[in-house]
Amino acid sequence: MQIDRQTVEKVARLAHIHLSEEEIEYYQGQLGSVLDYMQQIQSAADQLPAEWRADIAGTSCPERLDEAKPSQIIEKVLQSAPKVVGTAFQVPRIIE
Amino acid sequence: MNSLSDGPSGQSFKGLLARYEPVLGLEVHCQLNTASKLFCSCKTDFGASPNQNTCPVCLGLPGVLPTINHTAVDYAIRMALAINGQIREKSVFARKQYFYPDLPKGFQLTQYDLPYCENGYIDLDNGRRIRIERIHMEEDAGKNIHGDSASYVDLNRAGTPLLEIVTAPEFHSAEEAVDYLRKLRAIVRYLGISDGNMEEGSFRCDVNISLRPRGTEKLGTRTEIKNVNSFRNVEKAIAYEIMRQADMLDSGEKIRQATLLFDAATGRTQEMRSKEDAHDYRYFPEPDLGPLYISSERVNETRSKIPELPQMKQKRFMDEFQIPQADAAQLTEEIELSTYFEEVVAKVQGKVAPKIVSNWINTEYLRELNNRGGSWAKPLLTTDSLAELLRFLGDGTISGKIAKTVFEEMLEKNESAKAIIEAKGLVQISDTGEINTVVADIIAQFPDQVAQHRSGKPKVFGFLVGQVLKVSQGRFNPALVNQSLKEALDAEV
Amino acid sequence: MSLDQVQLSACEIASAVNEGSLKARDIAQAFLDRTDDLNRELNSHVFWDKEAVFNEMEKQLDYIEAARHAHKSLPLAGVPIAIKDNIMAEGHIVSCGSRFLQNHRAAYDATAVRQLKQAGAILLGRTNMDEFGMGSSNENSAWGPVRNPWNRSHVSGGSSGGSAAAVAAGMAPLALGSDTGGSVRQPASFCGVLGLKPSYGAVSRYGLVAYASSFDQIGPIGRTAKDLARTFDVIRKHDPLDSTSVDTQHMGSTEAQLEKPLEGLTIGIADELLAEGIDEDVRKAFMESLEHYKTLGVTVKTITLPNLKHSIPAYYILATAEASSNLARFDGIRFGVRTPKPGASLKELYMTSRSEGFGREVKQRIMLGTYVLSSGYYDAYYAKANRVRELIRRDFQAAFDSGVDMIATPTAPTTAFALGQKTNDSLSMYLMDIYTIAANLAGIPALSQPIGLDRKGLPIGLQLMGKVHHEGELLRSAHQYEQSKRWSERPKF
Repeated sequence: MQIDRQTVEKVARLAHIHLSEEEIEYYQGQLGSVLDYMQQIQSAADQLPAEWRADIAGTSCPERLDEAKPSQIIEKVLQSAPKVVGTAFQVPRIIE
Repeated sequence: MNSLSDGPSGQSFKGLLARYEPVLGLEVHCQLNTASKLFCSCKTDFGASPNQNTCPVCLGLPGVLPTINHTAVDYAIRMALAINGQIREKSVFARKQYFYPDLPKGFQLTQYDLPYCENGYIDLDNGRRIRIERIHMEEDAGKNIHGDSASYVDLNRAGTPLLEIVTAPEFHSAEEAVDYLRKLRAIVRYLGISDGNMEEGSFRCDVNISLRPRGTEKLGTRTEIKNVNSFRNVEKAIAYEIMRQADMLDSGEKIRQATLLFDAATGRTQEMRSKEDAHDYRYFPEPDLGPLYISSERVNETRSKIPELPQMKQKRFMDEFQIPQADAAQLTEEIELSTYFEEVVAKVQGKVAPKIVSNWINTEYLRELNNRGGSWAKPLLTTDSLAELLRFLGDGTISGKIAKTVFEEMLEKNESAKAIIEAKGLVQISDTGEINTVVADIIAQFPDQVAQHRSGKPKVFGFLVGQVLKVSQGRFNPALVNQSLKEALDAEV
Repeated sequence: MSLDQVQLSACEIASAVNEGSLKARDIAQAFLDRTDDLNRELNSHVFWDKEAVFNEMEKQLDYIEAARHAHKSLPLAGVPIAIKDNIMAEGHIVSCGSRFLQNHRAAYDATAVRQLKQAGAILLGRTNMDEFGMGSSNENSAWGPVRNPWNRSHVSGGSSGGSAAAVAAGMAPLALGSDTGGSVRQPASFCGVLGLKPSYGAVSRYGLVAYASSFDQIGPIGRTAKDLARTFDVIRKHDPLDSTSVDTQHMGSTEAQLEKPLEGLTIGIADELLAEGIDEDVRKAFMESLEHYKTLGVTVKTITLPNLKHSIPAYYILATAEASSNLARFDGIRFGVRTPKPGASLKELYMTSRSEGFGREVKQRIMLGTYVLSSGYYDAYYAKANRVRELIRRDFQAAFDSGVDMIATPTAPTTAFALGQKTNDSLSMYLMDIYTIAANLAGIPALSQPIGLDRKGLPIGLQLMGKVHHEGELLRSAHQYEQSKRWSERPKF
C-alpha cells in the first residue's frame, strides 16, 4: 500500500509530531509496508454477528464510592514539572 | 446594539420573524455536585489555589487509570428519569482526542456513540414538547488562565463530572429556549444533583441557531454560540444572532457554519478563531474502563428516590391551593421556596387562604429577599414566624397594611410578630363604637365630599374611608369602617 | 561468598533472611556489587546509581528486620528485585527508556511495587527497555541497547530486555517486566530465564506506564518457576485503582500447587503455527520439550487455531491505536522534558517536545495508531481488528473447551538475533512476536521457560499458554519440568 507524503504529514500533524524531511521519507516507507501487511485482516472469515462490538462485549465496570480523598502530591509534581509559576503550570500564551 | 427591537441593519425584529423561522437547539453542560471527581477521588470544589485539588489521575501523570464515581452515575440516572429518557443498559466512555493545556491526558473521557440516555423530553409552558435527544456523562476540563506573556494551567476543575444534555433543534424563539433552561435548571436543583449556577459555570449553555424561510422545512446552516452564562444573555445572544443571520440572508450572503462567542458587554456574537486543522477527534472506547452497566433494578431503585419535580408540583399547587399558574410557577422554580410555601400554608392552620400566603411569599418576601441579597436556601424568617404573622392577619388582629409594617419590623429587629404588635399597640380595632365616633367626625369635617357622594360619585367613598383609617393610623378594621361609613351616609339621607 | 549468594533463588533468599541465617543487607550488597560490575557490559540498567539504591534500601532493611523480630515471615524477605523502567516507584527517575522522561521523578508507587515492598522485596535498580515498551530487541531504548548475557553482540530481546538480562546475569534473582505483545516472554526466552505474562487483570496496571491498555500486564521474570509463582502470588491482588483488575484469590496460591502431579493435563499444539519461518534448532528443542512433558504424564494433542494467523496485524492496529492515545499526555506541560526555546508558541511547544522527546519507533507507532483511528479508517482497521481479536479469543476458547489445558509454542521463532540485524525493517521485527501476541489479544496467561541452547549457544524458550486465571497450571508444569530436567546452563562472565 502506498502512503503518500500528505498522509504522513497529516497524521504527524494530528499527533503533534514534527517530522524532518528525512523522517517523512522514512515513515512513508515504513508505514506503507506495515499498513500493507495489515490489510490481511480484511480477509479474516468473520462469523461474528454484524452488530457485535467490542466495547459492550465486556460485562461491566466497577464503580468507586464517592469519597473525596486528598492526594497531596502536587508539590512533588511541581518540583519536576518543566515550568511552574506559583502552583500553576506555565505554557506559552494561548491565542484563542 | 442598544435595543433588542432592531437588527444590525435597523430592520424590525417582528418583521424579520414574519419572514424567517428561527430553529434552535440547546446543549447544556451541567456540573454534578458530587464530593469527588468523575474518575478520581479528588475534591470537586474550585476555590483552592491552582492545582491543589489534583492527584496523579486528574493531572494525567504517566501510569494512572480512571475509576468511575458511583454517585455520579446515580445522579445521571436521576436526570434521565426526570426527563423521561430511555436508559441504555450498557453505555461506553470514549476518548475524545485533542491537544490543549487544560486537557491533561490529551483526551477527554466522554460518551460518544453509546450515551447512557436518549429520547427524553421537557414540556414548555406554551404546551410544546421539546425532545431531548441524548444525555451523556463526561469529565470537565481544567482551566487555562491567560496572562500578558504566558498562560497558566489549573487542573482543579479537570475531571469534574458533567452531564451534557442535548435537545433536538426544536425551539423557535428565545423565550422557548429560556423557558426550557429554567425548567431544566429547576429539575437539576430539585434532584439535588447540581447547583445549576450559570454565572459560576456549573450550568453552561451552548445554543445552535439557524433560520429558514417561513413555510419551508429544510434546516438552514447553523452557528453555535458557546458558553452563554445567564438566562438574560441567552435571550440577548439568540436575538442578536437571529438578526445577524437574517441580515445576511436578506443580503444574499451564505451563513457559514461557525462557533461563536457572545460578548455580554457589547451584546454581539463573535466568531472564535477557527482551528487550522479540521477536528478529527479519533474517538475510540476507553480501554481502561469496561462498559458502564446500569441495571433495571438500579434504575427502579433510583426512581423511588426522585422527589416531586417542579412541573408536577406546579400543577399540584394550582389544583390543591387554587393559585394561578404564574404564581405556582414562581413558587416552584426553587425547591426551597416551594417547601417554604407548603410549610407556611400548613402552619397558618387554615386561618389564611393559600392564595394569600402565595401572594405574601411571591411579593413581600421575594422583594425583601432580593433587597437583602439573600438566597432561598437561607430563609429571612422561619416558617413559624411568617405563619404567626399571617395568622394575625387572618384572624383580623391586624390589617394587611399593618402586617406589612410588622413584617419589615420583624426583619429589622429579629423579633416575633406578636412582640412587635403588642409593643407598638398595632392590634386592629374592631370596636364599632369607637369607629362610629370617628366616622361621624369625618362626615362632619367633609360636607362637600358627602354631598358629592350623594350625587352619585362612588370614588368619594374611598376617600372618606381613607380619612377614617388615617385617624386610626391604620388600626381600624377596614371592613367595619366600610360598614359603619355606609350606614352613616345612608342614614343622612 | 558473593558469587554463591547471587546464585540463590528468591525463595532460598527469603527463607534464609526470615530464619536469620542470612542478612538482607549482605544479600543486597552482593547483588549491588554484581550489578555495578556487569551493567557496564550489558547496559541492563538505566540511571544506575549504586549509592542511591543503597541509601534507598535502608528503610526497607529496617522493615524486614522488624518483621523478623516480630516472627513475621515475609514471602520475599530481602529478595532483590530489578524493576522495569516503566513501573512507578516513588522517588525513582522513571524514564520508560525515553529521553522525554529523563528527568521524570515518580510521585507515587505502582500497586505492584507497593505489594513487593510489603512482601519484603528490595528494589534493586531500574532496568533498560525499549522506549515505552515498543520493541522486540531493546534496541529502541534512548539509553542504548541491552546486550545478551549469552553473547554480547546479540540482542537481549524486548521490551523487558534489561529485566531478562539482569536475571540471567545474576544481577537480581527476580525482576518485574511488562508484557504487551510478548515483552516479558520473548526477552526471557532470549536470555534463558523464565517469564510470566499473567492473565489480563490479574496484576494491577496502576503505576505501569501504559503502552496499550487492553494488552499490558506486569509480569515477573526469574530463574525458577517457584520464584515466579511466589512473586506472582504477591503482586496479583485486586486493586480498586484499576477498573480492569480482577480478584483471583479464589484460584488459590499458585506456589501451593507446584507439586501437584501433571498427570491428566493436556497440552495442545497447533500445526499451522509451526509451519514456516521457524528456526530448525528451535523446532527441534520445542519437540524435545514436549517429549519430556509426556514423560511427566502430560498428554499432547493437536489442535487448530485458525485465526491466529491474523494476530500480528490485529495486534499492531489495536496496540498502536491505544498507544497513540496513551502517549498524548506526553506534552511537555506537567512533567518530562520541554524543549526550551524562548518565544515558542504553544503549538511549537507540543511539536518540538514530542518530536525531540520520542524516538523513531515510538513516533512510528503513534503515527500508525493515529492513522488507524482517523476519520475514514476506523471501521476498516480498528473495528475490524477488534472483531479479529474476538475470533482469536474464541479460537482459544474452542481449544480449551475441547479438553486442552495448555497450548504450547516456541516463545519466538528464532533465538536472539544479532544487534542491528532488524533495526531498519519494522515489519520483520514485528514478525518476531508471532507466538507471543495471541495471549495478549486473548487476555490469557502465558509463560516462557528455557528448554535448551541452539548450536550458537543461545537459549531457546518454550511458551505455555493457559486458560484465563489458570496461571497455576503453567507454573506447576514449568516447575516440574525444571525439577526433572535441571536447566543448569548459565551465561559465562
